[in-house]
Amino acid sequence: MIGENLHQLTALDRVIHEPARLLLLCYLSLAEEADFLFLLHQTGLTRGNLSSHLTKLETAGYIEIHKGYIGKKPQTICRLSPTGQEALQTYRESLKEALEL
Amino acid sequence: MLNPKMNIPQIEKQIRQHTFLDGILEIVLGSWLLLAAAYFWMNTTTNNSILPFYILLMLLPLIQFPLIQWLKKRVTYPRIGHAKYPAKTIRQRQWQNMIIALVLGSVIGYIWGFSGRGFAFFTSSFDWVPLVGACLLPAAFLYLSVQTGVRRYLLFSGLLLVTGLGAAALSHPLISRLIAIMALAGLVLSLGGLITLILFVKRYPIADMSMEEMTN
Repeated sequence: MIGENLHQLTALDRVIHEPARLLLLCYLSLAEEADFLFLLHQTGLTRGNLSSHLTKLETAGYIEIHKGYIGKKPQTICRLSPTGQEALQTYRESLKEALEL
Repeated sequence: MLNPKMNIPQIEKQIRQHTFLDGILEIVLGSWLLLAAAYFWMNTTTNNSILPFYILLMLLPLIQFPLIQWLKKRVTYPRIGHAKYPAKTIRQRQWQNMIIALVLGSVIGYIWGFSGRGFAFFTSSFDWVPLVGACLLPAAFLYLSVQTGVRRYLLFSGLLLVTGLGAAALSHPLISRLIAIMALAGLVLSLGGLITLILFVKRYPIADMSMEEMTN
């Protein structure tokens, strides 16, 4: 029984399973939208790391990234997409079920 | 570095605290209290209504939230970024706003009592008005501290209580004590907010808000 449930772990979404990306999705699920700087300060990731994780999440269709300007300064705004919201929920349920939490 | 002990409630708390890092709220509230105290002091000494002062005093509560937003856009967001909250979190923040409204309401209460149209009936024989007045602001900041987890507000609450009770215990006329409570509270909040803002600006220099140069 336990083995059967644990088997589900192999089917977990690997894009979300990475701790930094999971944390990013958690932040974006709590805030309607957040800019790059906000996520940088909140997660404690380096700029390069954060940037690469955001790109991966965007490629997977889990987040939407809008690039704009505030005055002359560029600004990157990230938002959880409906697909991302669904994927996060599924991941959460799968993990809960697999570990019988 | 990622914190391995991070959980969802902690993240929510961290996001809430993010709003209060800069001390702008205290500066605006403190300035308003100082302005109110100055107005009443001038009103008692000159015995005339100072109209422009009065208009500014009444206008500040209306413009304080847009003013805070305006300041945050220029000072806070370029340093630590910005997040927009969903409706659920906005509801939580509305509670905080209600507390702030209570703080402002208490000041309007002072105005009323001071003008002789409100508390005057009670104040001839009771001395509770300054005492209640001295406790309102500390209570509001204590609540804010519990709600947001910002420890600085606990310190403000203590300082406001000590200064407020000290002013309430003075052997001066009621009006002077109310003005003293307002002025001291304004001073504590403005100075506290200013120190917080200076430390905030030093700790967080203006950063690039974009991920543009990082992406391949």
